[in-house]
Amino acid sequence: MSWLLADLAAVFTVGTLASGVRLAVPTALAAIGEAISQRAGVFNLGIEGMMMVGAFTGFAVASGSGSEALGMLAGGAGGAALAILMAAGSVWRGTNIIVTGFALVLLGQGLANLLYAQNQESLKTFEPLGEVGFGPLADIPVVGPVLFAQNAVFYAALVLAVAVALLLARTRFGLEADACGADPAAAVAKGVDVRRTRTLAVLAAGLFAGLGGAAITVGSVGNYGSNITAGKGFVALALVAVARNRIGWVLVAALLFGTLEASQARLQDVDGIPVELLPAVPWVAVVLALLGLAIAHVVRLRRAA
Amino acid sequence: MRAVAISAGRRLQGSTSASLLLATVAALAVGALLIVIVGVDPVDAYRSVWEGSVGSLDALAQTSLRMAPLLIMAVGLIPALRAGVFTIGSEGQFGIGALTAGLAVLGVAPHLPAWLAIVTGALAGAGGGLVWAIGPALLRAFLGIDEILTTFAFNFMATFLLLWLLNGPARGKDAFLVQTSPTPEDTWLPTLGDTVANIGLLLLPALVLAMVAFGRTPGGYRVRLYGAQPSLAAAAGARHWRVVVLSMLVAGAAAGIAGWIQIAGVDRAVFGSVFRGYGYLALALVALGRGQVAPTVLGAILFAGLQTGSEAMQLGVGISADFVFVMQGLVLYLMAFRGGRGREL
Repeated sequence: MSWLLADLAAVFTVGTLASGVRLAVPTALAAIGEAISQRAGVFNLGIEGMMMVGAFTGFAVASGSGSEALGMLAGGAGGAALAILMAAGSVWRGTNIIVTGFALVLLGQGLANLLYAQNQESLKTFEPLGEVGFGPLADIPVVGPVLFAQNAVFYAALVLAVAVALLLARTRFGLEADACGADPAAAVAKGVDVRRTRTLAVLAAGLFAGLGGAAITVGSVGNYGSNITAGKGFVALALVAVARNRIGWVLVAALLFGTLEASQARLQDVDGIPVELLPAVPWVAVVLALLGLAIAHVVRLRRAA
Repeated sequence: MRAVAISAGRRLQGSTSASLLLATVAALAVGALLIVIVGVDPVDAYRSVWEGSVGSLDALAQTSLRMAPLLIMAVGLIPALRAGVFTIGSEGQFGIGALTAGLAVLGVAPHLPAWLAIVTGALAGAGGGLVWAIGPALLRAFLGIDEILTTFAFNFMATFLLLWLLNGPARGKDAFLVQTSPTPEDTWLPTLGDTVANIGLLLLPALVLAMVAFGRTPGGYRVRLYGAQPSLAAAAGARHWRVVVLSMLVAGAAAGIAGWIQIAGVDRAVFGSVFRGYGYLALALVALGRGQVAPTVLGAILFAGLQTGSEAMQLGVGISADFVFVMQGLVLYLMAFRGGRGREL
């Protein structure tokens, strides 16, 4: 047992934590957007497609213009553009939300991969965003490398997370979104424009998913590759389900999963740990969380009776 | 009342198939625009799609190989969607079915005659898919847990379980890829004539007819009634948990058989890359076809043709085969959009 603990101690170092935070950024951004959409009652399965579009438009614009900032904005815009289709279908036309979301996964992945494949020669790779310099702060043990040696996307994501948490908790939009999610009929009766609120929420989800995609290509790779988001949008869905749409918990879940991801390569060397199964952890957590909620519900009903 | 329901069903069925064709035409038009944008003559491009999907006997045979798993999964999903049970777990059940079918064949092939090994593989595939459906089915039937998220989660668990097994305990000796050993040649499904199509194709009409027949039995009627109005169905003798669990298990077993047919007829080993998104495509087709047989069959043929056609187009005129995802996504989106509210299941 002690050898295992020693091995694990070698895996979970400050370096792992720092790269875990880095890996968490794209998923966290997408998950924040998904949480907004789900608070308003729209389960946005298309998030993976929106991330893919954002990853491509972000990369293409950053590559063409030489500006990472423009690239990030283009990524957000690309994701939001695909989200317009989601809103038009599931909010305005009332289409089946799963089928429409899945169609947009196919469309987003297909378009991004196709446009990249056809323009591969003319799109130059570039150096991804470097660390923001915080001088001596980065030398603080543990906290320094983890919090003060990240790229600009990380700090932007933090600011956005706080802004969204405030938006949802403190503004009229946040209250209306919750009303639409909890009981759309009652929201209409109270004078909430459900379609408008949901449209904004879905567009925000697309924007954040696009930013998440661009965080990969512009923020950390400086390149694009076929299916580069590798299911991170779906992971975001799992994180939001476990965090039950609350921004704070979404961030915690994203950090935990990022750290798990970062440790995966080093855990390969530890005997007895099936590393291939680690990415399944969020999905097991989703099922357990749903099970826990259902059992708690049954217990409450029994008590009441 | 039943006669009225059936005739209304027929009318809608016609319009759903028409809507699928219309969506396909519209998607191809958008696709032509995309082809022009990337600098290729759309006439050339679509000629190679046509020739590669249905233009020759060989092309048709290739298309049939992609159609088979898609159609089997879709037909298996019909009862669940008619009952209003929205299981999206076919993808994972397909992978688990492929795995159990492949391992079973590898295990029994040295000891059994070839035809018995093939049958064992089919049964093991069905069993694997069914087992993977049990968890979400019970959670929905007895605890009321929404099946959409649980089946989705089980798909990802299946993906990573397969990767782990095929990288470790189930990995074939001397295998270069993440895969099992190849299955013995005499357990492959015999081909039809000189083509790559195999006798698994003959299974499809039987399954389709079985589903049409099921729709006309009292059980099939109760399933539809349950989807329309659970309390009414209960009065007609349908038990809630039976409708939910059985329909989900049927979908699981069908997906498992689809996995088996992929292994026995095409892949001839279990690969970590066995997942192709067929499970989600099948679900979308059945949902948009409103649980009816005709548009589901038509959709499976169309989507398989788009697949082989796009591969041929990549070879022929150099447009990435990712084109197929754009087409399939557009068809599904446009069809859902045309259906709109109230025409869903």
